Amino acid sequence: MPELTLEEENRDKGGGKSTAIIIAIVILAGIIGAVWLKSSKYAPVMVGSTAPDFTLQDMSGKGYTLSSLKGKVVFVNFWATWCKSCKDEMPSMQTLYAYLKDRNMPFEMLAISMDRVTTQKEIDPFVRSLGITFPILLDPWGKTDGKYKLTGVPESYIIDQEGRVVEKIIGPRDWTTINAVEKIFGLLNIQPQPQAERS
Amino acid sequence: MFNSFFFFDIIFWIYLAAACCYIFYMGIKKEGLGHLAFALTFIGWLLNTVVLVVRWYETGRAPYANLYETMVLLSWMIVAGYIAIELKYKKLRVLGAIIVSIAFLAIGAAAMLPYRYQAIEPLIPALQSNWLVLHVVTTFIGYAGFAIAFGLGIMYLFKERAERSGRKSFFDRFPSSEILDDMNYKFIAIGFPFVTLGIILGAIWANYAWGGYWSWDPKETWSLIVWFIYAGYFHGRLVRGWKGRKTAYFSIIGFTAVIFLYWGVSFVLPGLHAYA
Repeated sequence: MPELTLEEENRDKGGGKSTAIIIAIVILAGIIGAVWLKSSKYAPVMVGSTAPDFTLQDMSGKGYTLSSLKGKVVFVNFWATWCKSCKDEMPSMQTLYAYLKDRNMPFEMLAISMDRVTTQKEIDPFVRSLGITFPILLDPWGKTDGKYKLTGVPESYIIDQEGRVVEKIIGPRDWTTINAVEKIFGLLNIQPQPQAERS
Repeated sequence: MFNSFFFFDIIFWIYLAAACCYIFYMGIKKEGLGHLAFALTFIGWLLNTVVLVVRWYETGRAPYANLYETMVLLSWMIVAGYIAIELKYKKLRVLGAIIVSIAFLAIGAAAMLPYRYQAIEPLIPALQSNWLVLHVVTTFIGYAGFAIAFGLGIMYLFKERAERSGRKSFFDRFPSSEILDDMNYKFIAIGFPFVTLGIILGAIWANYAWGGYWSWDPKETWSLIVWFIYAGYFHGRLVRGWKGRKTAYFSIIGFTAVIFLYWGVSFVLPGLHAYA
């Protein structure tokens, strides 16, 4: 190996070093502070905890922010086009959504697609083929995945009018059965009627 | 709150800050900025150690069992290697611009993984063994060496081109192509025996765990491809006397194959070696 001259090292002995260490510590403190302020994200998302907030766009570019839906019961569903049981679950979600919308209930259903860039283009045909009318939100970078600590798809959260998680459902569910919608109907103060079943 | 994810998020930003400082340092000749970059790198490395220790405590086992954990280990090794370079050859500080960036990218890739790949899960029975530590640590020392050599190979190609043109350029700050070439060789010479040992240890372990030394699993096949690329590097270098550009390309292709071996095979070609 060619001989290295150490002129640069000698150029500013001492001088910049202590300043650099001080600045490094200030940067470190800033980073620790910033990460600390967001440390609530390390807590698990459970029934009773505040649902982590998010802002995502639907396929037409319209933005949805969870925290701005306070006062409504929110059904958040995580799904993906490559997930078979999501496809099985969605028609029943559509039935529930249509039922509550027809009655002008303070209710919102947000289905967040976990499709990354590779399968993004399959979302539109998927949604069309199932005739879905509730908002489909896009999350190609998986921002909500970490926030909700997803164990997979589908996964659903029922969030009350104050933004708290009331029910956490791992895996698919038939949303046209009375047992499935019990919590939602309870929050909305509706007595389940037979029409709520498959129409 | 002081869980491994907390410290992981801190090192993500520290390494990003350190990499940015090195990149700016490469552009402007201010030693103070270089000192800052090194201080940040060193702090980041200490906290990287903390991530590994805390994760070890949380999982109750050596924290090298999946893609996420091994990326933290890889960045720790790359940065350790870089710190050694910087302490030995102060003048080579600009190398940080690329090597610390690679360490940051390893952490960034781990951060991009879906949560279920980051979460702590009990170790599957086949991995509950001291062989895990031996096999993973030796293999990753090798990968870290290859990662550093990859960075040096890229710098070599830029520098060599600038030297040939003879004009003043941005790359004047890089060490001479001769030094880069020599260091590229040194790091591959460190990495290669470790990867070889890692493959051998993996085969012995496979014999215990799966009942056969070699089963042509995609991971095994690709590790052999990687091994042959670097074996080709040595053959070229020692027998044919290759130097410079040819070997720089080899180190770049070799590491690209390592990335595929590690990320591509895990997601694209499922096999026995399905954990990472």
